Amino acid sequence: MVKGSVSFSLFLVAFVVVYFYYANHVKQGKPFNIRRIPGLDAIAEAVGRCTEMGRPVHYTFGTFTFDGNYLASFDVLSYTASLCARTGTDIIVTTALPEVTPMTEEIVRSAYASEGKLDAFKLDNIRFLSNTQQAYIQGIHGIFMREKPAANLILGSFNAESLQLAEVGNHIGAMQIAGTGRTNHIPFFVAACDYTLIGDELFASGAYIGRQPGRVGALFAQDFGKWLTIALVLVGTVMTTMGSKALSNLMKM
Amino acid sequence: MKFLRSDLPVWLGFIGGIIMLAAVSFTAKPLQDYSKAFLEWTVVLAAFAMALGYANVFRIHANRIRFQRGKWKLSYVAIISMVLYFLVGLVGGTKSEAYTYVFTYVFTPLSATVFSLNAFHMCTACYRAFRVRNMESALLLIAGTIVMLGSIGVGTAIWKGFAIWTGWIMNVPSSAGIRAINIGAALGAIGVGFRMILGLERGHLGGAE
Repeated sequence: MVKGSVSFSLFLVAFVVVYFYYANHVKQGKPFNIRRIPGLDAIAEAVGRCTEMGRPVHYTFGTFTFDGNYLASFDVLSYTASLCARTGTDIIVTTALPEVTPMTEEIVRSAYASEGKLDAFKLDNIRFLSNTQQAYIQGIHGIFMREKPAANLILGSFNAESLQLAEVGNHIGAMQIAGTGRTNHIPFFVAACDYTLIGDELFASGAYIGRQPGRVGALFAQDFGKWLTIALVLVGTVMTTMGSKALSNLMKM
Repeated sequence: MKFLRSDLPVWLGFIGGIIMLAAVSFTAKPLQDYSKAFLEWTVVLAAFAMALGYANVFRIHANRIRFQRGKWKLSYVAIISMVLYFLVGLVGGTKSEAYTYVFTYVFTPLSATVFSLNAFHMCTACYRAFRVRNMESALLLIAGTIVMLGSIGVGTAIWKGFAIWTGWIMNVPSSAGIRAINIGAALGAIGVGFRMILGLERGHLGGAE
Protein backbone atom coordinates (compact mmCIF):
# COMPACT_ATOMS: atom_id res chain seq x y z
CA MET A 1 0.00 0.00 0.00
CA VAL A 2 1.03 3.62 -0.51
CA LYS A 3 2.62 5.04 2.66
CA GLY A 4 0.17 7.26 4.52
CA SER A 5 -2.91 5.84 2.81
CA VAL A 6 -3.99 3.29 5.44
CA SER A 7 -5.65 5.87 7.69
CA PHE A 8 -7.32 7.47 4.67
CA SER A 9 -8.63 4.10 3.47
CA LEU A 10 -10.01 3.33 6.94
CA PHE A 11 -11.70 6.71 7.01
CA LEU A 12 -13.19 6.07 3.58
CA VAL A 13 -14.61 2.72 4.71
CA ALA A 14 -16.21 4.37 7.74
CA PHE A 15 -17.55 7.14 5.49
CA VAL A 16 -19.17 4.57 3.17
CA VAL A 17 -20.74 2.67 6.08
CA VAL A 18 -22.25 5.87 7.54
CA TYR A 19 -23.38 6.93 4.07
CA PHE A 20 -25.32 3.72 3.41
CA TYR A 21 -26.74 3.65 6.93
CA TYR A 22 -28.25 7.13 6.61
CA ALA A 23 -29.27 6.71 2.95
CA ASN A 24 -31.23 3.64 4.07
CA HIS A 25 -32.59 5.56 7.07
CA VAL A 26 -34.02 8.25 4.76
CA LYS A 27 -35.27 5.68 2.23
CA GLN A 28 -37.35 4.06 4.99
CA GLY A 29 -39.07 7.40 5.53
CA LYS A 30 -37.56 8.00 8.97
CA PRO A 31 -37.35 11.66 10.03
CA PHE A 32 -34.14 13.67 9.71
CA ASN A 33 -33.18 17.25 10.25
CA ILE A 34 -31.00 19.53 8.13
CA ARG A 35 -30.25 22.96 9.55
CA ARG A 36 -31.43 25.97 7.56
CA ILE A 37 -29.06 27.43 4.98
CA PRO A 38 -30.30 31.01 4.39
CA GLY A 39 -28.33 31.37 1.13
CA LEU A 40 -30.21 28.46 -0.44
CA ASP A 41 -33.57 29.62 0.93
CA ALA A 42 -32.91 33.00 -0.68
CA ILE A 43 -32.67 31.57 -4.22
CA ALA A 44 -36.46 31.44 -4.57
CA GLU A 45 -36.62 35.06 -3.39
CA ALA A 46 -33.92 36.05 -5.91
CA VAL A 47 -35.74 34.38 -8.81
CA GLY A 48 -39.03 35.96 -7.64
CA ARG A 49 -37.33 39.35 -7.63
CA CYS A 50 -36.22 38.83 -11.24
CA THR A 51 -39.73 37.74 -12.23
CA GLU A 52 -41.26 40.87 -10.69
CA MET A 53 -38.70 43.16 -12.31
CA GLY A 54 -38.81 41.37 -15.67
CA ARG A 55 -35.04 40.89 -15.62
CA PRO A 56 -32.91 37.75 -16.01
CA VAL A 57 -31.03 35.71 -13.43
CA HIS A 58 -27.29 35.44 -13.98
CA TYR A 59 -25.43 32.30 -12.89
CA THR A 60 -21.71 31.57 -13.14
CA PHE A 61 -19.10 29.10 -11.85
CA GLY A 62 -15.71 30.87 -11.93
CA THR A 63 -12.46 30.15 -13.72
CA PHE A 64 -10.73 27.66 -11.42
CA THR A 65 -10.28 23.97 -12.32
CA PHE A 66 -13.35 21.76 -12.79
CA ASP A 67 -13.64 20.31 -9.29
CA GLY A 68 -16.11 19.34 -6.58
CA ASN A 69 -17.29 22.94 -6.23
CA TYR A 70 -18.60 22.79 -9.80
CA LEU A 71 -20.36 19.49 -9.21
CA ALA A 72 -22.03 20.85 -6.08
CA SER A 73 -22.98 24.01 -7.96
CA PHE A 74 -24.69 21.97 -10.68
CA ASP A 75 -27.39 20.98 -8.14
CA VAL A 76 -28.05 24.63 -7.36
CA LEU A 77 -28.10 25.50 -11.07
CA SER A 78 -30.63 22.75 -11.76
CA TYR A 79 -32.85 24.04 -8.92
CA THR A 80 -32.51 27.67 -10.03
CA ALA A 81 -33.25 26.81 -13.67
CA SER A 82 -36.37 24.90 -12.56
CA LEU A 83 -37.58 27.94 -10.64
CA CYS A 84 -36.87 30.14 -13.66
CA ALA A 85 -38.75 27.78 -15.97
CA ARG A 86 -41.71 27.71 -13.59
CA THR A 87 -41.90 31.49 -13.31
CA GLY A 88 -41.03 32.32 -16.92
CA THR A 89 -37.82 34.11 -15.98
CA ASP A 90 -34.75 34.06 -18.21
CA ILE A 91 -31.57 32.54 -16.82
CA ILE A 92 -28.19 33.45 -18.30
CA VAL A 93 -25.42 31.00 -17.46
CA THR A 94 -21.83 32.00 -18.20
CA THR A 95 -18.89 29.62 -18.18
CA ALA A 96 -15.12 29.92 -18.38
CA LEU A 97 -14.32 26.25 -18.87
CA PRO A 98 -15.31 24.88 -22.27
CA GLU A 99 -15.80 21.34 -20.91
CA VAL A 100 -18.42 22.67 -18.49
CA THR A 101 -20.50 24.37 -21.20
CA PRO A 102 -22.19 21.23 -22.66
CA MET A 103 -22.97 19.98 -19.13
CA THR A 104 -24.48 23.34 -18.28
CA GLU A 105 -26.65 23.26 -21.41
CA GLU A 106 -27.86 19.79 -20.48
CA ILE A 107 -28.65 20.76 -16.88
CA VAL A 108 -30.68 23.84 -17.84
CA ARG A 109 -32.43 22.04 -20.70
CA SER A 110 -33.39 19.15 -18.38
CA ALA A 111 -34.68 21.59 -15.77
CA TYR A 112 -36.91 23.28 -18.36
CA ALA A 113 -38.03 19.90 -19.70
CA SER A 114 -38.93 18.65 -16.21
CA GLU A 115 -41.13 21.73 -15.76
CA GLY A 116 -42.76 21.09 -19.13
CA LYS A 117 -41.37 24.35 -20.56
CA LEU A 118 -38.79 23.09 -23.03
CA ASP A 119 -39.99 25.57 -25.65
CA ALA A 120 -38.98 28.43 -23.29
CA PHE A 121 -35.38 27.18 -23.03
CA LYS A 122 -32.95 29.56 -24.79
CA LEU A 123 -29.72 27.91 -25.87
CA ASP A 124 -28.16 31.33 -26.52
CA ASN A 125 -28.39 32.08 -22.80
CA ILE A 126 -25.79 29.40 -22.03
CA ARG A 127 -22.63 31.31 -22.87
CA PHE A 128 -19.03 30.22 -22.89
CA LEU A 129 -17.18 33.53 -22.59
CA SER A 130 -13.49 32.74 -22.44
CA ASN A 131 -11.09 30.51 -20.56
CA THR A 132 -8.94 33.61 -19.97
CA GLN A 133 -9.77 35.18 -16.63
CA GLN A 134 -9.88 38.86 -17.59
CA ALA A 135 -11.86 38.26 -20.79
CA TYR A 136 -14.32 36.17 -18.79
CA ILE A 137 -14.71 38.96 -16.23
CA GLN A 138 -15.25 41.58 -18.91
CA GLY A 139 -17.77 39.35 -20.68
CA ILE A 140 -19.80 39.12 -17.46
CA HIS A 141 -19.47 42.84 -16.76
CA GLY A 142 -20.83 43.47 -20.26
CA ILE A 143 -23.82 41.22 -19.55
CA PHE A 144 -24.36 43.05 -16.24
CA MET A 145 -24.38 46.43 -17.95
CA ARG A 146 -26.44 45.47 -21.01
CA GLU A 147 -28.94 42.95 -19.63
CA LYS A 148 -29.06 44.12 -15.99
CA PRO A 149 -29.79 40.82 -14.19
CA ALA A 150 -31.72 41.35 -10.96
CA ALA A 151 -30.07 38.33 -9.32
CA ASN A 152 -26.47 37.22 -9.55
CA LEU A 153 -25.63 33.69 -8.41
CA ILE A 154 -21.91 33.02 -8.24
CA LEU A 155 -21.34 29.50 -7.01
CA GLY A 156 -18.38 27.36 -7.94
CA SER A 157 -14.63 27.52 -7.97
CA PHE A 158 -13.07 30.97 -8.21
CA ASN A 159 -9.80 32.75 -8.72
CA ALA A 160 -9.29 36.52 -8.46
CA GLU A 161 -12.49 37.17 -10.43
CA SER A 162 -14.56 36.58 -7.28
CA LEU A 163 -14.45 40.18 -6.05
CA GLN A 164 -14.76 41.70 -9.52
CA LEU A 165 -17.95 39.75 -10.21
CA ALA A 166 -19.44 40.42 -6.81
CA GLU A 167 -18.64 44.13 -6.72
CA VAL A 168 -20.00 44.91 -10.17
CA GLY A 169 -23.03 42.76 -9.38
CA ASN A 170 -23.54 44.91 -6.31
CA HIS A 171 -23.08 48.05 -8.41
CA ILE A 172 -26.00 47.12 -10.70
CA GLY A 173 -28.17 46.40 -7.65
CA ALA A 174 -28.50 42.65 -8.20
CA MET A 175 -29.40 40.42 -5.28
CA GLN A 176 -26.29 38.28 -4.88
CA ILE A 177 -25.82 34.75 -3.61
CA ALA A 178 -22.31 33.33 -3.69
CA GLY A 179 -20.67 30.13 -2.56
CA THR A 180 -17.35 28.36 -2.78
CA GLY A 181 -15.12 25.97 -0.91
CA ARG A 182 -12.04 27.99 -1.84
CA THR A 183 -11.17 29.82 1.35
CA ASN A 184 -9.17 32.62 -0.29
CA HIS A 185 -12.31 33.96 -1.94
CA ILE A 186 -14.91 33.52 0.80
CA PRO A 187 -14.03 36.89 2.46
CA PHE A 188 -14.66 38.72 -0.82
CA PHE A 189 -18.07 37.14 -1.14
CA VAL A 190 -18.95 37.82 2.48
CA ALA A 191 -18.02 41.48 1.98
CA ALA A 192 -19.80 41.99 -1.33
CA CYS A 193 -22.78 39.60 -1.48
CA ASP A 194 -26.14 39.35 0.27
CA TYR A 195 -25.72 35.65 1.08
CA THR A 196 -22.65 33.41 1.06
CA LEU A 197 -22.49 29.63 1.19
CA ILE A 198 -19.31 29.00 3.13
CA GLY A 199 -17.25 25.88 2.42
CA ASP A 200 -19.26 22.72 2.92
CA GLU A 201 -22.60 24.58 2.77
CA LEU A 202 -22.18 24.53 -1.01
CA PHE A 203 -21.60 20.78 -0.92
CA ALA A 204 -24.69 20.33 1.24
CA SER A 205 -26.86 22.15 -1.30
CA GLY A 206 -27.82 18.99 -3.23
CA ALA A 207 -29.17 17.32 -0.08
CA TYR A 208 -30.78 20.54 1.15
CA ILE A 209 -32.63 21.19 -2.11
CA GLY A 210 -33.41 17.66 -3.24
CA ARG A 211 -33.63 15.64 0.03
CA GLN A 212 -33.04 12.40 -1.93
CA PRO A 213 -31.73 9.48 0.20
CA GLY A 214 -28.33 9.30 -1.56
CA ARG A 215 -27.64 12.98 -1.09
CA VAL A 216 -28.86 13.13 2.50
CA GLY A 217 -26.78 10.03 3.27
CA ALA A 218 -23.68 11.79 1.96
CA LEU A 219 -24.49 14.85 4.06
CA PHE A 220 -24.68 12.78 7.23
CA ALA A 221 -21.44 11.03 6.26
CA GLN A 222 -19.83 14.49 5.92
CA ASP A 223 -21.06 15.38 9.41
CA PHE A 224 -19.66 12.12 10.72
CA GLY A 225 -16.32 13.06 9.12
CA LYS A 226 -16.40 16.42 10.86
CA TRP A 227 -17.10 14.92 14.29
CA LEU A 228 -14.35 12.36 13.72
CA THR A 229 -11.92 15.12 12.77
CA ILE A 230 -12.83 17.16 15.86
CA ALA A 231 -12.34 14.07 18.04
CA LEU A 232 -8.97 13.31 16.43
CA VAL A 233 -7.81 16.90 16.89
CA LEU A 234 -8.79 16.89 20.58
CA VAL A 235 -7.36 13.44 21.34
CA GLY A 236 -4.24 14.21 19.28
CA THR A 237 -3.68 17.48 21.14
CA VAL A 238 -3.96 15.78 24.53
CA MET A 239 -1.73 12.85 23.50
CA THR A 240 0.95 15.05 21.96
CA THR A 241 0.92 17.31 25.03
CA MET A 242 1.49 14.20 27.15
CA GLY A 243 4.41 13.19 24.92
CA SER A 244 2.74 10.33 23.06
CA LYS A 245 3.15 10.10 19.28
CA ALA A 246 0.90 7.04 18.89
CA LEU A 247 -1.93 8.88 17.14
CA SER A 248 0.27 10.89 14.79
CA ASN A 249 2.17 7.70 13.86
CA LEU A 250 -1.17 5.96 13.22
CA MET A 251 -2.27 8.81 10.93
CA LYS A 252 0.97 8.54 8.97
CA MET A 253 0.49 4.80 8.28
CA MET B 1 -29.79 6.95 -26.86
CA LYS B 2 -30.41 6.83 -23.10
CA PHE B 3 -27.48 4.43 -22.79
CA LEU B 4 -25.13 6.89 -24.52
CA ARG B 5 -26.40 9.97 -22.70
CA SER B 6 -26.80 8.57 -19.23
CA ASP B 7 -25.72 4.98 -18.56
CA LEU B 8 -22.39 4.97 -20.40
CA PRO B 9 -21.04 8.15 -18.71
CA VAL B 10 -22.08 6.75 -15.32
CA TRP B 11 -20.24 3.47 -15.99
CA LEU B 12 -17.17 5.29 -17.27
CA GLY B 13 -17.27 7.51 -14.18
CA PHE B 14 -17.53 4.44 -11.95
CA ILE B 15 -14.58 2.64 -13.58
CA GLY B 16 -12.42 5.77 -13.74
CA GLY B 17 -13.31 6.78 -10.18
CA ILE B 18 -12.54 3.36 -8.71
CA ILE B 19 -9.18 3.21 -10.51
CA MET B 20 -8.21 6.72 -9.38
CA LEU B 21 -9.30 6.00 -5.81
CA ALA B 22 -7.46 2.67 -5.71
CA ALA B 23 -4.32 4.34 -7.08
CA VAL B 24 -4.25 6.57 -3.98
CA SER B 25 -3.91 3.53 -1.71
CA PHE B 26 -2.25 0.79 -3.76
CA THR B 27 1.12 0.80 -5.47
CA ALA B 28 0.33 -1.87 -8.14
CA LYS B 29 1.92 -0.75 -11.42
CA PRO B 30 -1.14 -1.28 -13.67
CA LEU B 31 -3.24 0.85 -11.32
CA GLN B 32 -0.68 3.65 -11.31
CA ASP B 33 -0.34 3.46 -15.11
CA TYR B 34 -4.10 3.60 -15.69
CA SER B 35 -4.56 6.51 -13.27
CA LYS B 36 -1.77 8.40 -15.05
CA ALA B 37 -3.41 7.67 -18.41
CA PHE B 38 -6.76 8.96 -17.12
CA LEU B 39 -5.14 12.21 -16.02
CA GLU B 40 -3.57 12.60 -19.47
CA TRP B 41 -6.94 11.93 -21.12
CA THR B 42 -8.53 14.78 -19.19
CA VAL B 43 -6.05 17.19 -20.80
CA VAL B 44 -6.86 15.83 -24.28
CA LEU B 45 -10.61 15.95 -23.66
CA ALA B 46 -10.37 19.52 -22.34
CA ALA B 47 -8.56 20.49 -25.56
CA PHE B 48 -11.40 19.02 -27.62
CA ALA B 49 -13.92 20.81 -25.43
CA MET B 50 -12.24 24.09 -26.34
CA ALA B 51 -13.56 23.67 -29.89
CA LEU B 52 -17.07 23.29 -28.43
CA GLY B 53 -16.51 26.47 -26.41
CA TYR B 54 -15.51 28.48 -29.43
CA ALA B 55 -18.43 27.07 -31.42
CA ASN B 56 -20.67 28.34 -28.61
CA VAL B 57 -19.17 31.86 -28.80
CA PHE B 58 -19.50 31.86 -32.58
CA ARG B 59 -23.11 30.67 -32.51
CA ILE B 60 -24.21 33.25 -29.93
CA HIS B 61 -22.66 36.17 -31.81
CA ALA B 62 -23.84 34.89 -35.20
CA ASN B 63 -27.40 34.66 -33.86
CA ARG B 64 -27.12 38.14 -32.38
CA ILE B 65 -26.15 39.50 -35.80
CA ARG B 66 -28.80 37.43 -37.59
CA PHE B 67 -31.65 38.63 -35.38
CA GLN B 68 -30.06 42.07 -34.76
CA ARG B 69 -30.42 41.70 -30.99
CA GLY B 70 -28.99 44.24 -28.52
CA LYS B 71 -25.69 45.80 -29.58
CA TRP B 72 -25.37 43.34 -32.45
CA LYS B 73 -22.81 45.37 -34.40
CA LEU B 74 -20.27 44.66 -31.65
CA SER B 75 -20.69 40.98 -32.38
CA TYR B 76 -18.99 41.62 -35.74
CA VAL B 77 -15.95 42.86 -33.79
CA ALA B 78 -15.98 39.75 -31.59
CA ILE B 79 -16.25 37.30 -34.50
CA ILE B 80 -13.72 39.07 -36.74
CA SER B 81 -11.17 39.37 -33.89
CA MET B 82 -11.63 35.73 -32.92
CA VAL B 83 -11.32 34.40 -36.48
CA LEU B 84 -8.41 36.66 -37.42
CA TYR B 85 -6.35 35.83 -34.36
CA PHE B 86 -7.08 32.14 -34.85
CA LEU B 87 -5.85 32.38 -38.46
CA VAL B 88 -2.74 34.31 -37.44
CA GLY B 89 -1.90 31.53 -34.96
CA LEU B 90 -2.74 28.81 -37.45
CA VAL B 91 -0.74 30.23 -40.36
CA GLY B 92 2.25 31.80 -38.61
CA GLY B 93 2.32 29.67 -35.46
CA THR B 94 2.06 30.87 -31.86
CA LYS B 95 5.70 32.01 -31.86
CA SER B 96 5.27 34.30 -34.92
CA GLU B 97 5.84 38.05 -34.61
CA ALA B 98 2.25 38.97 -35.52
CA TYR B 99 0.80 36.55 -32.95
CA THR B 100 3.09 37.64 -30.11
CA TYR B 101 2.61 41.34 -31.02
CA VAL B 102 -1.16 41.14 -30.52
CA PHE B 103 -0.66 39.14 -27.34
CA THR B 104 1.96 41.49 -25.88
CA TYR B 105 0.60 44.87 -26.96
CA VAL B 106 -3.17 44.31 -27.03
CA PHE B 107 -4.15 41.39 -24.84
CA THR B 108 -1.67 41.87 -21.98
CA PRO B 109 -2.35 45.61 -21.38
CA LEU B 110 -6.11 45.02 -21.57
CA SER B 111 -5.83 42.18 -19.05
CA ALA B 112 -3.66 44.26 -16.73
CA THR B 113 -6.16 47.11 -16.91
CA VAL B 114 -9.05 44.87 -15.96
CA PHE B 115 -7.04 43.24 -13.19
CA SER B 116 -6.06 46.62 -11.75
CA LEU B 117 -9.74 47.38 -11.17
CA ASN B 118 -9.46 44.91 -8.28
CA ALA B 119 -7.84 47.64 -6.17
CA PHE B 120 -10.92 49.87 -6.47
CA HIS B 121 -13.29 46.97 -5.97
CA MET B 122 -11.44 46.05 -2.78
CA CYS B 123 -11.80 49.62 -1.47
CA THR B 124 -15.56 49.73 -2.06
CA ALA B 125 -16.05 46.21 -0.69
CA CYS B 126 -13.98 47.04 2.41
CA TYR B 127 -15.93 50.26 2.92
CA ARG B 128 -19.20 48.35 3.06
CA ALA B 129 -17.80 45.42 5.07
CA PHE B 130 -16.14 47.67 7.66
CA ARG B 131 -19.27 49.64 8.55
CA VAL B 132 -20.00 48.80 12.17
CA ARG B 133 -23.51 47.36 12.32
CA ASN B 134 -23.10 44.62 14.91
CA MET B 135 -20.53 42.82 17.06
CA GLU B 136 -19.19 40.73 14.16
CA SER B 137 -18.59 43.70 11.87
CA ALA B 138 -16.93 45.59 14.75
CA LEU B 139 -14.52 42.68 15.25
CA LEU B 140 -13.90 42.58 11.48
CA LEU B 141 -13.09 46.29 11.50
CA ILE B 142 -10.66 45.98 14.41
CA ALA B 143 -8.93 42.89 12.99
CA GLY B 144 -8.81 44.36 9.48
CA THR B 145 -7.32 47.64 10.72
CA ILE B 146 -4.63 45.86 12.75
CA VAL B 147 -3.70 43.55 9.85
CA MET B 148 -3.56 46.45 7.38
CA LEU B 149 -1.39 48.57 9.67
CA GLY B 150 0.80 45.60 10.57
CA SER B 151 1.42 44.80 6.92
CA ILE B 152 2.73 48.23 5.90
CA GLY B 153 5.82 50.13 6.99
CA VAL B 154 3.90 53.13 8.35
CA GLY B 155 1.91 50.94 10.73
CA THR B 156 5.04 49.33 12.14
CA ALA B 157 6.68 52.78 12.47
CA ILE B 158 3.71 53.98 14.55
CA TRP B 159 3.73 50.95 16.85
CA LYS B 160 5.76 47.72 16.56
CA GLY B 161 2.93 45.83 18.21
CA PHE B 162 0.88 46.04 14.99
CA ALA B 163 3.25 43.58 13.27
CA ILE B 164 3.13 41.19 16.26
CA TRP B 165 -0.67 41.29 16.46
CA THR B 166 -0.93 40.88 12.70
CA GLY B 167 1.17 37.72 12.93
CA TRP B 168 -1.02 36.40 15.74
CA ILE B 169 -4.29 37.15 13.92
CA MET B 170 -3.06 35.55 10.70
CA ASN B 171 -1.46 32.50 12.31
CA VAL B 172 -3.94 31.65 15.05
CA PRO B 173 -7.65 32.61 14.58
CA SER B 174 -7.44 33.12 10.81
CA SER B 175 -5.53 29.87 10.17
CA ALA B 176 -7.86 27.94 12.47
CA GLY B 177 -10.91 29.23 10.61
CA ILE B 178 -9.41 28.54 7.19
CA ARG B 179 -8.42 25.00 8.16
CA ALA B 180 -11.87 24.28 9.56
CA ILE B 181 -13.50 25.46 6.32
CA ASN B 182 -10.99 23.47 4.27
CA ILE B 183 -11.72 20.29 6.23
CA GLY B 184 -15.47 20.80 5.75
CA ALA B 185 -15.03 21.49 2.02
CA ALA B 186 -12.74 18.45 1.60
CA LEU B 187 -15.33 16.21 3.26
CA GLY B 188 -17.99 17.73 1.02
CA ALA B 189 -15.85 17.01 -2.03
CA ILE B 190 -15.40 13.39 -0.86
CA GLY B 191 -19.19 13.12 -0.54
CA VAL B 192 -19.81 14.51 -4.04
CA GLY B 193 -17.04 12.34 -5.52
CA PHE B 194 -18.41 9.25 -3.83
CA ARG B 195 -21.91 9.92 -5.16
CA MET B 196 -20.47 10.43 -8.65
CA ILE B 197 -18.51 7.17 -8.55
CA LEU B 198 -21.64 5.29 -7.54
CA GLY B 199 -23.65 7.04 -10.24
CA LEU B 200 -25.97 8.61 -7.68
CA GLU B 201 -24.95 12.12 -8.72
CA ARG B 202 -26.19 12.80 -12.22
CA GLY B 203 -26.45 16.56 -12.08
CA HIS B 204 -23.68 16.94 -14.69
CA LEU B 205 -25.65 14.65 -17.02
CA GLY B 206 -28.72 16.81 -16.67
CA GLY B 207 -30.55 14.62 -14.17
CA ALA B 208 -31.02 14.30 -10.44
CA GLU B 209 -30.31 11.22 -8.30
